Amino acid sequence: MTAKVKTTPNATLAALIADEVVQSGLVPTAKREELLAKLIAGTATAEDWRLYVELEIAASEAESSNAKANADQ
Amino acid sequence: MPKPMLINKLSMHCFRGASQPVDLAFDITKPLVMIFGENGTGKSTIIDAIDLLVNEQIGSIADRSSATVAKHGPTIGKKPADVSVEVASGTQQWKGMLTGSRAAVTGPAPRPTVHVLRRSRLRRLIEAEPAERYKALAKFIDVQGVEASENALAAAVATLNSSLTAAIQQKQQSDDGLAELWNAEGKPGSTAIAWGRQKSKQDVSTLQAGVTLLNSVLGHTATAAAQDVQYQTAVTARRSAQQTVDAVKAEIAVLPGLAPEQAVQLIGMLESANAIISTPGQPEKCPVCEQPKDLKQLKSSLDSQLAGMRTLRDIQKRLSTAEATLAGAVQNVNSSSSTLLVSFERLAKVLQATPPSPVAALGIAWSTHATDDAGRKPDTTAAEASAAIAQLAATVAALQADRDAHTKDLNQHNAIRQHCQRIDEADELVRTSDEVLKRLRRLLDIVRDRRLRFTQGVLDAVAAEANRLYGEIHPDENIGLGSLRLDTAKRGSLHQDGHFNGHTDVPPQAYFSDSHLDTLGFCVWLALAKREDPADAILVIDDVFTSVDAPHLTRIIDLLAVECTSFCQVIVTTHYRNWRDRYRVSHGPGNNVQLIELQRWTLLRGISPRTSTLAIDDLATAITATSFDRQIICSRAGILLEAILDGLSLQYRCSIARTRDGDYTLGELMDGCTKLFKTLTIRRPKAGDSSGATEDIAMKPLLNSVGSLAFVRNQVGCHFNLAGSDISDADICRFGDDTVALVRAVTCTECGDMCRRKKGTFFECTCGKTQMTPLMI
Repeated sequence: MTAKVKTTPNATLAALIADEVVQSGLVPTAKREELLAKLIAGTATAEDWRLYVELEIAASEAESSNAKANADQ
Repeated sequence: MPKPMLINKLSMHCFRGASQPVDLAFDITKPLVMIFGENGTGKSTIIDAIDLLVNEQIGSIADRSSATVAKHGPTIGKKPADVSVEVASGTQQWKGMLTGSRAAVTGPAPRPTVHVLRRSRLRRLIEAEPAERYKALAKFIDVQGVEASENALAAAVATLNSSLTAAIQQKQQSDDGLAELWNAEGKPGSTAIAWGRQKSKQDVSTLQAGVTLLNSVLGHTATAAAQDVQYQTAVTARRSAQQTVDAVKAEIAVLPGLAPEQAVQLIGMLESANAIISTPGQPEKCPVCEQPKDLKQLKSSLDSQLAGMRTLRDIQKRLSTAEATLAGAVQNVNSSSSTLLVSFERLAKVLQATPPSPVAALGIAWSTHATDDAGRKPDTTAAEASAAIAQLAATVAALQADRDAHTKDLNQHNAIRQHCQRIDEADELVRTSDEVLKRLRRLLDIVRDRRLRFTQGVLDAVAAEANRLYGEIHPDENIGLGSLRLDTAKRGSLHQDGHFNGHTDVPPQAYFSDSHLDTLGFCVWLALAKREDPADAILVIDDVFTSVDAPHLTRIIDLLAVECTSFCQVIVTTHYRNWRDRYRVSHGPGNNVQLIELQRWTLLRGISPRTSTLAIDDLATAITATSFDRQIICSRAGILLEAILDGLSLQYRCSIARTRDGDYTLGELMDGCTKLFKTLTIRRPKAGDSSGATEDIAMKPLLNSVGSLAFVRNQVGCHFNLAGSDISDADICRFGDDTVALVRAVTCTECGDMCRRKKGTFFECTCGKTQMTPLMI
């Protein structure tokens, strides 16, 4: 008889948060799994949060630059 | 999907009350196991055994003072090594042992999930301190990992906010500093920052070089001046020494007689002769002329001559000293002269290229006083150097003034440059970090809001479920649990509020009665157990409803009958016979309950369980038994009928003549229910039909049938009655069969319960499969 994997409240909440912050465009989608693991383990640092935000800003800026370049062409 | 783990067997020996080996077999087809036993029959021992095997604890001992596992876990007079406890779930088995003060269990993992509720823990959640209450609920609301990450996020926001605030403050300070400098300069240009940026770009290397040159000149000038002072001092000393020598020589020149050298020789001879004459044992004749001599007179003459000549000797000594001093002074002059010339040459080297204007005005050709490019040394004398230094000393104040002015200009330039740099840095930081800060704040809002909503959502759900259950037990009583809420100011702290007769936010423990607190504790415990994978969990409730009165207990029994279907197994112990009897006489879903009865306990006999059967099954068995017992059949049928009709008459408020003690005879009950049975109809699924078709059963014929033979109950089943002997076995059998038919008709074939729950236009049974109409007569 295999043991049923129990989900903890922490893990459930972590998944909800990870989904919401990605959907809000604050954290890159590519970082969702990493963020989820850190939320569950409680190891997300101030630097991690800042990095996610900066990556998303950079990605947004790159995207808008590309869009502008395409529009100019 | 893994099957839930139910307990199907428990075996004990030498454990607590199990002084003899005892096995309990649990019917896993029944969701509820009821273990009835009067006080001291071993109910808690059974619960302790289960607790030991799945949770490795013996709660009833833990809850009592002066009781230890090692000493009081084994049956009295036995040792821990004698204890044997086993529980089986399917093919899996767990064995428990007592090793010293601890319980040890062997067996496969995982073990069944069992929630044990005892009387001593019933109010633990309700009466606990907020911190203890939080611990009890922690596994449902503990989100430490997310909280730690949230704290890190908050720290990121705070740090960046501080940096930005500091940068803005610094920018403001630099703006103010720059404005001050700008004002001091008369506000040139359009704005302070424009002026500052322009000034920052200016080349200050010339200014820098000027300050460096002036510092160097002043330094070398000071050094040379100090050397010059030493030189002058040496020259003065030499002059003085020369004068001293000249004076002594002058003294010698005026002395008459022998030349000084000759006088010194003569002094030496006379002193030697004086020494000889003074020595005892000298001859009385002169060894040269052999004339007699008067030694005393000779010595006196020598002393007189020597005294006159010593003055000359002293002067000679002074002359030697003065000449030595003069030689030293000359050496000093030479040495200090060399040092002076070296430092003067260095000074000249610094000044030869571009002397500062006060120095240039002196008109001194500094290049002539420095080694040239070909390596030729200058022939400057110390006197010339000294003179030049004296001229230079007059310009020192002007040089210092120039240097200070240049330094001030340089400092101002640096200050302007620094202010502009800080302003630019602050602007850059704000530009890059402002957006980051905004997003971090939004992230923090999301994380925090989600966490609070999640945890409060869990608490609200627990409170709502607890309240729902509580409402089932205490309908229309205007009392209940208000809310469970986290203390936002203090981590790990959980508050509860109750409502009582229209007042909210009251602590339940202040206003609720003991039994209300007990039932509230039970409801909260049950609500929590339902959150934790109930389909895989076993509930074990150890005789906790001791404070509850009969009407409330009835509702608890009905509640458990419904709630037990949420769990894979529920085991309840009780000393309340009424509860057991309700199931036995179909006033509850008896088909879903396994009834175990514990008989009287003695140390010799130990725990003695036996299976109780439903009254309807007992009657059916008696009717078909090989040994046909008329009295038993009539007695059982009569009791069962009374129970059924009593329940129906209460439910429908049938008209029956009142009695003082509330007991009614079978005849009275049947008469009272006659009107009811005219319209009483049971609707249930057709047996053997899976299409969902139902059948309606009119109860009147069944009552008529049993009523026609009801007299046999008294005559055969109750009292000594000769007339009863005339009643045939067939009639008794028919009476029994008719009773069985009536009871089976009015109870659900699935759950075994009567239809007691009002639902819309009918009553329904516990499982909802059987309905009864009308709602009233």
